[in-house]
Amino acid sequence: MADLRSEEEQVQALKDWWKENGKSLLIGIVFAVLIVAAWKAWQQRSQQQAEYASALYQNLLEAVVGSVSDQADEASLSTARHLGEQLKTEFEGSAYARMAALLMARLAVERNELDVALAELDWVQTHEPTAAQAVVVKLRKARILAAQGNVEQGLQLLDGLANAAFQARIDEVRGDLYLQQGDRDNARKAYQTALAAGSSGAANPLLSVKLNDLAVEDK
Amino acid sequence: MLQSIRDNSQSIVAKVIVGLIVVTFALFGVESLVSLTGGSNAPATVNGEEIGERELLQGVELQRRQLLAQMGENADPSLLEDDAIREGVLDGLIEQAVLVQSAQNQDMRISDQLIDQLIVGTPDFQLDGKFDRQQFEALLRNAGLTPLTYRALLRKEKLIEQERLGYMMSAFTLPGEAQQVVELDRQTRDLSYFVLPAEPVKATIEISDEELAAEYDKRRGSLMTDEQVVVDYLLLERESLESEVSVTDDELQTQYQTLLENFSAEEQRHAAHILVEVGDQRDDAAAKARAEELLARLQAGEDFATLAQAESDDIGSAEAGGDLGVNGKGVFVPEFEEALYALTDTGSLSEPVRTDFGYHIIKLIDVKQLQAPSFAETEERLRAELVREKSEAIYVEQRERLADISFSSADLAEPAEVLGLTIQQSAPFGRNGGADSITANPKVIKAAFGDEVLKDRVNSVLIDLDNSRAVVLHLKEHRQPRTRTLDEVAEQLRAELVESRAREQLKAMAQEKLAALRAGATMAEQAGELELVSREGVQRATRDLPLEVRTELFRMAQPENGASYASVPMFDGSYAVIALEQVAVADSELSDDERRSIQRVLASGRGQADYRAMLEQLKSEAEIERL
Repeated sequence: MADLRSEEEQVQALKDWWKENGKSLLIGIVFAVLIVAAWKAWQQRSQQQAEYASALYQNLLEAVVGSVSDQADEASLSTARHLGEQLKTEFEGSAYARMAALLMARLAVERNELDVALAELDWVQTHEPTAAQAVVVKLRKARILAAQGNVEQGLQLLDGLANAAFQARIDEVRGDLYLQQGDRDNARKAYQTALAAGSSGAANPLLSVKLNDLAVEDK
Repeated sequence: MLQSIRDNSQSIVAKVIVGLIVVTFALFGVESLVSLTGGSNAPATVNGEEIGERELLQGVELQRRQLLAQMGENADPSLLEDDAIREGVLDGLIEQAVLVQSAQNQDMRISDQLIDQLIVGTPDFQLDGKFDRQQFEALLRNAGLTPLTYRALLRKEKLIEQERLGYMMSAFTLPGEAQQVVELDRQTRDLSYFVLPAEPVKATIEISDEELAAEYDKRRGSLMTDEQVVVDYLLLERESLESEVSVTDDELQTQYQTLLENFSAEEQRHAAHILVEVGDQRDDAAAKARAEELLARLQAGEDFATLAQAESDDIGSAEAGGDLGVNGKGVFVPEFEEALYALTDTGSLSEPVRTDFGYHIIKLIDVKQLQAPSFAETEERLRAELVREKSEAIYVEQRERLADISFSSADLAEPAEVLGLTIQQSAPFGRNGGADSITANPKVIKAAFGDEVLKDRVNSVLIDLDNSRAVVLHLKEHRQPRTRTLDEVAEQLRAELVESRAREQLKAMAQEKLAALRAGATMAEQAGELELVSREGVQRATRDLPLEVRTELFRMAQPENGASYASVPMFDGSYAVIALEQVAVADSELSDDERRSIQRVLASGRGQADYRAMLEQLKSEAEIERL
């Protein structure tokens, strides 16, 4: 080394440096520790929150199973509705809340409260559904609308809905809706597309039955 | 140079770089640098997440065990090839990874408590209804898992299940949809049909030799014989060694003595009883009094069997007059046994005996002393046992020798001579195996078409057919696939040609009939002398119509005015002409219960389909790389 200093000189240099920078260094360290601690705490909290929501959802599933079984009991139904509401209000942005709303929609259909079911599905639509959920919700809404007599509105909902994985599902619902309108030709076409699109997936015997029922005589 | 490094390291740029390195190490450790250099060789990655080779191997192993268990003894090794299983298992793992990632991306979580609950609640991990840690760990070890990996596995499964049930359980069926399905399902159709038989048409068809030759040329490529082999083999059987074994009288005697030593003379007693139960209806004292009363009646001369039938609370034996059969010691509860063995004279009765069941009155019917069998009685059996043992020893030794010698010999002549076996020749067989038990054995087929036998033309390794038969193979003849000659296939080709021409002609006939019918002719006119079958109210589930006719019937257009018509080829080559006369819906009224259960079935089908579509969607979005 070029400039060898004595030990005292070195110590003195350190001291000077400390006087100059010590304060800001300490503040910096404290800040860093605080930020890390806050980050950890926040992470833990959100993890706990998610786990709590998960446990609620698990109970909700059990209650739903109980309320749609053969021995449907009122108690599970009210438990299910209570848990569903809780998930939707306290964990509004979570996946569990969306799935809870989907389940609530089903319970509403079972009680023939179609408007309530539509509202639940709308709720899912406005709460950042996944791509698959968005399609499922639209399909279910379209069917409910048609059951309420608004077949045209249901069909509009399906227009422009394109998703390769769901194509067979979409076209089958479209066919059902056309059939409700009495439009057998369009229904047949829709069923045919659905059958072709579904060839990769599992067989759908009901779809074939519906399609065959609309057969025309080949002369 | 050191000076220049020192100078340069003062510059801002250098400080920033050093700072970055420090931060990287502090935050991510050494791994981040190592993983940059070490290339990945994971069997697959899903959105950058690797599926570990270990996971895959574990899955393959598990699958193989399950397959083995299903196939039992006749396991076909070719189905257990790693590669075949691997693909399926890897598909499953990729699917799992896609689903878990989907759940995690939505911030779904499973708490440790839930996992604990699941583990503690699993019946397999319980002993006497309570969770048992050792049982849990032992079971995991058998499956090649640790508690930690098992928890991770459970967590994944649960995550996937939460999302799956979110789709499955939320699917619904609207009342109108259920109605539509029920009406379709209960639809009935009225029809009449007649069948244009194939035989008369076939009888008129002549196939010339030129046509046959042309057909042969056209299909030459698909008229190949299978690849076959004929093998010579040596069969070593334990049973045929039995004749070489001799058993001396001394050995028989020794064996008989051992048998006698192991035989303990045991007394057996034939007993009957009457039970007076102590329970809710009768307390101890009342039962005892009742038992004593019964005993008094017996002593006064009443028949034991009759009384037992009428009064005993032991329903099982009461019908047989209380008879418990002949038993040795250790069958009954101690108090009962003691009382039974205290009786000395046949026909004597015990005082009422208290056991956990209540009060018994016991009757000794007979005492049987079990005699050791005489030498003459057991000689046959002992001789057979000895012969078996000895021949087995020889078999094991000869099996070893056969394996050794055939390995070092060029063909089967030497081992045959040394072991005194005859070389036998198999019938020709292909890769699907032959008819007898040797050529049908999968291990034999595999060896016969393996490199050793087929290419290197050496003796095969020794193959155990079962635990008392073994074979060694040597190739006799390898028959390569060849085109069959015209003579060999003439019959078959002629029949096929006749068949297809007849089908064409019948189809044309059916078309003519259909046209006539649509132009207004009646079914009766068109059927002519053929039998016209008419049925009303045919349902989808009606079984007594030919399958082809029923299937076609429910594919036909609904009649607008009059009837609709169609024709369909039948299994035996004939053609059916069908008229659909009317479509009706049988009673489609549903009770509430029926409607609910139909709705539920349909909803679960829809839920399944939604979930499957979602999975497809996820897979199509994911970046999946397979090695």
